[in-house]
Order: sequence, then structure tokens, then C-alpha cells
Amino acid sequence: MKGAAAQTATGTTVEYRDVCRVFGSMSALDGLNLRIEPGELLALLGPSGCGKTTALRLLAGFDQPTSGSVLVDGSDISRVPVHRRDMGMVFQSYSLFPTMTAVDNVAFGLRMRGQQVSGRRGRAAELLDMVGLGDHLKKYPHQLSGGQQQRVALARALAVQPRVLLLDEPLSALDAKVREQLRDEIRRIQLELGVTSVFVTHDQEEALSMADRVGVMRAGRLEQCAAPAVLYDRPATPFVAEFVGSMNRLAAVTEADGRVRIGGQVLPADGELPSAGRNVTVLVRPEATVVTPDEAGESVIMVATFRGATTRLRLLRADSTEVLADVPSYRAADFSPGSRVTISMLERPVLLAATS
Amino acid sequence: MTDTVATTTSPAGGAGSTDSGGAGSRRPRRDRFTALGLLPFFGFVSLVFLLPIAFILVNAFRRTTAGAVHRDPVTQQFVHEGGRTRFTGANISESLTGVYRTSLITSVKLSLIVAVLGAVLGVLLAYAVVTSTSRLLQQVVTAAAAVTANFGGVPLAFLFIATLDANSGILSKFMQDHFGFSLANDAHVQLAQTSGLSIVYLYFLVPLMVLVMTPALLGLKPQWSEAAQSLGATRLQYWRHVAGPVLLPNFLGSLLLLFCSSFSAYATAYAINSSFPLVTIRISSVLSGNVLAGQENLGAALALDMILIVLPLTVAYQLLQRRTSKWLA
Amino acid sequence: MAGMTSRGVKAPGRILRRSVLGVAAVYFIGPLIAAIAFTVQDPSGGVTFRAYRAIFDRPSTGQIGFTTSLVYSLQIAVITIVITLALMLPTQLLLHLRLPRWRGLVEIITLLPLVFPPVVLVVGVSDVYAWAAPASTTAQGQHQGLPFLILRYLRAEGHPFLLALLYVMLAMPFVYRSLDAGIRSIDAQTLVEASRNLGAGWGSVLVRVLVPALRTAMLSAGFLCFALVMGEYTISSILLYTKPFPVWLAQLPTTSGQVQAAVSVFSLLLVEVLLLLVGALNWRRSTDRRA
Repeated sequence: MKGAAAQTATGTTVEYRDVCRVFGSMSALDGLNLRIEPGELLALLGPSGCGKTTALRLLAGFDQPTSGSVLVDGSDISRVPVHRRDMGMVFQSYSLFPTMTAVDNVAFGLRMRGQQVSGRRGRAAELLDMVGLGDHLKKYPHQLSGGQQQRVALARALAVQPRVLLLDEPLSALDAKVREQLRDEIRRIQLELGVTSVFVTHDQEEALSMADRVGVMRAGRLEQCAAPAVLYDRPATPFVAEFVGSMNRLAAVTEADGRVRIGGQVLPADGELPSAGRNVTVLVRPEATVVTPDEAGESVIMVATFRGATTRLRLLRADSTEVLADVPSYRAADFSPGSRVTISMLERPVLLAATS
Repeated sequence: MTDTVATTTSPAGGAGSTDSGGAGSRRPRRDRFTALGLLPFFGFVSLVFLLPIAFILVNAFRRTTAGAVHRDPVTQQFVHEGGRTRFTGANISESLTGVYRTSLITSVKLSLIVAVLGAVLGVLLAYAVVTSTSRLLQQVVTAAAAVTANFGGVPLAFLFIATLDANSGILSKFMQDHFGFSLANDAHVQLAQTSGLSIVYLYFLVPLMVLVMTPALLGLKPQWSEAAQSLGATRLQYWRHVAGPVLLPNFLGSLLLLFCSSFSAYATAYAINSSFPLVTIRISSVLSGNVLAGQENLGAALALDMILIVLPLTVAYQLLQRRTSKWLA
Repeated sequence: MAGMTSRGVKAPGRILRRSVLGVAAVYFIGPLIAAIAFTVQDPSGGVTFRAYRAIFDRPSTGQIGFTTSLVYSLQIAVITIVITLALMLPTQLLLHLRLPRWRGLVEIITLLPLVFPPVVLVVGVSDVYAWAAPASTTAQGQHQGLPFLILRYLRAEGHPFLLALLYVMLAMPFVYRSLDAGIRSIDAQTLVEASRNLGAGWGSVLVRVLVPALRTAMLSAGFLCFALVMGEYTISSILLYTKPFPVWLAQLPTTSGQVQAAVSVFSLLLVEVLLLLVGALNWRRSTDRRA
């Protein structure tokens, strides 16, 4: 692909420095500090209202920070108008120009730069080919499916060889199957071109599967920014722990030397611990919860939900708390609703939940 | 106001009956019965509307000649005793000559001017309202537009007579007394002529345009503007390449609507200047007996002329609206 | 909206917008103010409300007064509204619920009055009357057939049903659209199915379920009719009626036009007040529902 070599050689850095965005009395961004490396796909993940879209729009130029600065390749871009920022953006929906064919849509950016008709049409056709729509050049947006429209939108954003690629929940409006397909394609193209990309989503599965790093945000602040595996295994805060994947909340008692006692087990705990003998709540992943069939067990299986490779069990403990546990589905026969089991934890450190 | 003819498929498709759960064989009979329910509507329209129109179409080509003629004292209509009635194109051709021709041309000219002016000014105003941040303003303007768009006719005429009448109009006198500026002579604005009438017509045409274009402007997705900007387009380029083409069918269609609306207008012009050469005023003059004997059906001929002008424009309007609904949906 | 967000571009946009709105305000409110000024000006240089008082003056012989004319038009308006709703509501419900295929045709028909303006329609009506009664009182007793009698009855000044019928036709494009929007928004199909399911007969469905649900649309359609009838001049004047309000207004004997302007201002204010009332009623109903 022409331009790929150029991209990786001079990938763009993006940096948010102490960025705040206040709307009246509401703070959408509260001191965002983030650095995006060249060629990296960074996902901004969080619940609605966390500020991820605001952060993206600040970068695109549709909004201005109240304080702090956004830097691209080291220079502050707050004075640069949108149409000169040289960034490609893919929106959630409805962004294709309805009166133009797919080819003309993709060629639009090139047209704005003054390229001649034949040249830009040719390049647009190349890009549409790259996203798998080589046969749909002359189609109008209303003649294309949702997935196809987003592919055109992607091709259009990439046509101008942007310094940064911005994606604002591009898959949220699509069907599940199409979403998965496009997810892989976007990632493949992004890797091939090596373009620095920022991807906003509220779907953690999307974020975890696509991104080089994921920035989890809440209430205008960045809770943690790390590779997906790190985020999952070593969540920095209880919010991240519970937002990414599922967590069981279990009662425990602190012991000396950084350990807690859960039921009959004593396990090491991450993070700051209060003094020994205190009641705390710990967080344990369902896959770290071991379930053993036991007629004399204290816990009962309430529901068994088949989820493909694993089956998720919802268990009711003797003290009336609920616990989730994942077991491989090929062993699901041993775990039918109503049967009794014993629960224990894998020998791995647990995380302390926030004290309310 | 008038906008799209719905082109979307009806949700229920052809399956009319919902509750009977009747077998398929019963449906045709049900439909035939239920279709009778539309009889009142079709009957009404036929009698009250299609019948008169049919009469126009026929009478436009009828002419009674020879025989004795006298005027009925009550209705002022000509009454022919004896004489021949035949079908001829004479009415039509006469409706295109002399004073009638003048009236047609004046009507078209006036309508064209106010349609274009109204369309441009209306769009500007609609845009100003739509991009305003004040919800109050938007609601007030929408409500006011709805009232003013229907306000035409006699009261409107008097409002402007009070303002612009050459002798007694408030504004005319004000300009004359304080600035020595005569609206009639210096600005060539005479209420009773095309210039003045245009200003009056705009009073209900601009709100009409605002009402029609506001939904269209609101239908412009913000993503289009943002996408265009992110691709390097300036504001001007956005309007020229993206928003303009989207709005164009709507704009043209609305322009046609304004034209037809002003072409058909009667009361306002009549109240201001009952001898102004508009085809609508001319028709009423014919109907009150202001013609030569034998020419009674000139009214029908003129009516037919009007129909022939307005009908293709209406068809064009519908076609344009159909285009738009695809894009702004 | 097409928001420009770079600093420095918003300012000129705002100025332009304000000036457009300013000019519009002057153009639309100006004549109103001028007319009011016109109506209260006194030759001796003061302010007088003579013109407004004159509206209600006892008319000279042969003329009718303001209230008579207003009431006359109001009556026609009411008849028009009744006929319109009685005709269009069942028809449109039938179309929507049972005969969706006919919707396209009906919709086109409702647009006909826009293509054939009132002036044209009145020519046709005149022609129909001319055909039915080529000669009036001097006829030899012929053409006293039923059509003629019916037509003459409809046209009578005392009960001008002819006008009402024609107005129903003129209002049709707007009434259709208004009711159509209402029917679509209440999802009539579901309402009907639900109430039929619960055992309601068609009469109950219509009166107890559909009509109340469509109150807003009906009100809006009724208001459209009202505005149309109160302002309709073309047909009524060409057919030589003298009593309807706009015709009466135009024929006011006047030297200075002050009284006519006064009535115009008055009627405009009346329409505004009514609109506000309808709007307030609407608003009240919608807030009541939430309570």
C-alpha cells in the first residue's frame, strides 16, 4: 500500500497535557494526561459520560479545552482549525455525504486538497478495494448496508493519509456479526498502514481485542492506561477491575503481612491493606473461582449459562451472597442447577475493593 | 404545509384485516366492502371539486354565437336565445391576447420575482433561526411563521395600505416629512404596482418558506459538517459540495411552491388595487360580466391557462420532494 | 448544526445571524406597528381610538355590523369544521387501518386544491350554476329540476352551505396532513387491536379510544379550517356574498381606511390570541398527562 512505509517511518505522537473541559458546572474532562505512541491503536473505554468522546473531539478540533493542551508531534494544535488538522475521522453513523457515490465520498478529502479528478478517483477506488468494496464504487450511501457504509467512511478517512485516525464508536450502530468482521478489518488496516489511531468505545470486548493499549476513563479522569492483558490481570483501581470483565465481591478479613482470609483460604492481596483483623471486600475473577461438586457443599448452583467455550455458573453461598464462576463447557455436565458445590480460589493475589 | 408525498411503504403492507384472523379467502371480499367506506370521500370530492373543474375544461372550449343576446338583470350573465354553441379554441386564443395576455404575463412576472426573493430571504431567515442557540426564539418564530403564512388576504392588504400608501401611509409620510424621500418617486416603490405588491406578498411567502425549509435545514446531519471539516473542507466548501446539493431539491421545490402560491393569490392584490392586471383579478372581472357577448367562457379559458401553468410545476415539485426524502431520511 | 468550532469564526456568524433576525423583525412587526399608529392617529395630531370604536358602530341602513359579519363567518367556520372532521376522520382512519393501498391516491387527491386555486374553483362553480339555471326568474319554468333546487338551496345567503362545502375542499390538503400526522403518531393500529382485544365494539373504539387520542390533531385541523374560513375572500366575494367577514371588511365604506386598518389589526390580534389559547390548551393537556 503506497504510503505505508512513509507512515511507519514518521508516525505521529499525540499527547494530552492536563487537559480539562468544563461545561458550565459540569466537568467533562478533569485533568487528562495521556501520551499516544506513533503507530499505536489506543482505545478509550468507559461508561457514557466518562469524557472519552470529549477527549476525541478535542483532538479532532470540534471543541476546545478549557485548560491544558493537546499536542500533536510536540506542537500545540489548539489554534489550528479543524480543516487543517489533517486527521481522519470515522463517526458512529450517518456521516457519508448522501448526494455522492462511494467513490466521490472517499475522494472528497483529496478533492478538498485540489487533486485532479482522475487522480483522486483512482486513489479512492484503491481504498475502496482495500476495504472490500471494490464492486460498489458507484453506489450511493442509501444503497449500502450499515457495515458497508462504515467501510466507506473508513476508506474516506484514510484517503487523505491522515496523521491520526480518529474513530468515534464506529461499530456501535452495527449488528453483532458485522461488528466482529469490521473490528478485525479495521485493526488489520490500521496495522498495515501504521497510522496512530484513537478509538472510542463503551464495549470492552471491542477495546480489549483491538487495541495496543486501552485507556479506561471515568468521570473525566483516566483510571488506567495499559495493554489489555495488563488491564485485565492487574487492574490499577477497583473501578477498572469491575468495569473490565466481571468480578466477584467477597467478604474477607485482613491478616498480617499483606494477606487476607477468605473463607478457609489465605491469599495475598494487592495494594494497600488496612491493619490486621479488619473486614474488607475483595475482588476475584469468575475464572479464578474454583468450583468442586460436593454433596455436602455450602453453596448451591442457581443458574448455569452456556457461553460457548465456558459456562458461567451463578452460585448462592451459605451467607446468601452470590458468586460467579466460569467452568469449561465440556465439564458443564457436572454442574447442573440445584446441585451443591464447594468454592475455593486459585492461589493468586486478590484485589481490594474500594471502601465505600 | 405541503411537503412530501409519502413514498415509504406502509407498515401493514397489504394485510388490512388484523383482528378477524380470517382465512385468506375471506380477505378479498372484506376489502371490497371496506373500500366502499371511501365512497363518501370520493363522492364529496367528485361533486364539490371535480365537477366544477370538469365544467371548466369543457366550457373553455365552448362558444355561443349568433342568436339574440341579452343580459340577465339578476345574475348579470349573458343569455342567448337561439344561436349556436360549438367547440372551438377561440376562447383559449383570445385569453392569450390583449389585456388577458397582459394579465398572464404580469402574474407570471410578479410570481417569479416574489418566489425567488421569498425563497432566498426565507432560506436565510430559516438558517438564522435554526442556528440560533435560543430555544425561545425558535419556538416563537415557528409559531409566528405558522400564523403569518396563513395571514394573507384582506387584512394583510390593509396593514400595508396603512404603511405604504403613497398618500396616507405611515412610512411614506414619515420618509417624506423627515427625509424628503418619496417612496414612490425616489425608491420606485408603489404599493399599487408590482414593486409594492411584491413587498406585500413576501409577508406571507417568507414565513411559508421558513416553515418548509426549517425541517430541511434541521435534517442536515451535524456529522456531515464535521466529516467535511475533518477532511479539509472550509465552511464555504461544505456548503458548496455537501449541504448545498442536499438542500437544492428542497429549495427548488419550495420555490415552486412559492410561485404557485403567489400566482393563485387574489384577495390581497384585489384589496390593494382592484384594477391591477393579474390573471386572478381578470378572471373575477370576467365572471362579473365584464366581457363582450360571446366571450363569457373566457373565464374558463383563463382558468385553464392557469391550470396549465400550475400543474406541471406541481408535478415537478412532487418529483423534487421525492428526491429529498431519500437523502434526509 | 453546522457548527464551526475554531476560535474566531463564530463571531462573524453571530453578527450575521443577529442582523438577519433584526431585519426580519423590522419587516414583520413594522407594518403592524405602522398600522396601529395609522389607526390611532388623529388629524389634529393626537391619539384617538375612534377607529376602534367605529368597528362596533351601528351600521347604516343596508349595511351590516361587525358582530353580525363576524358571527356569520363563525357559523360557516363551525359548519366547515364539522363537515371536514366528519368526512376526513373516518376516511383517514379507514385508510390507515384497512386500506393502506389507497393512501397514495387519496393523498394526491387532497393535493388537488393546491393545484387548482380558489379562483379557478369558483369559475367552475359559477359554470355549474350557469348550466343548472341558465336563466333565473324569467325562465319558462324549465330547469326547476332537483339539481337546480339543491344548488339554489346550497347557495342561499341565509344558509351558505355551498361555501362550507367549498371550504372543506380548500382545507383538505392541510387537514389531511394534520390528521395523518396524528394518526401515525398514536399508532392507531395497536390501539385498535388492543381495544378490540378487550372487547370493544367499533363504535366504542372510535368514540372512546381513537377520537380522544387524536384530540390534538383534530384541534389543529379545526384551527386550520377556522383560519381559512375567517380569511377567505376570493370565493365568497366572487360569488357575490356580502356578509362574510373578509368581504364585509373589504366593503367597509370609508374615507381614510382607518377603520379598515383597525379591523385588520383587531382580527390579527384575535387570531394570535386564539393561537396562544390553543397552544396553552395543548401544553396544559400534555403536562396534565404527566401528573
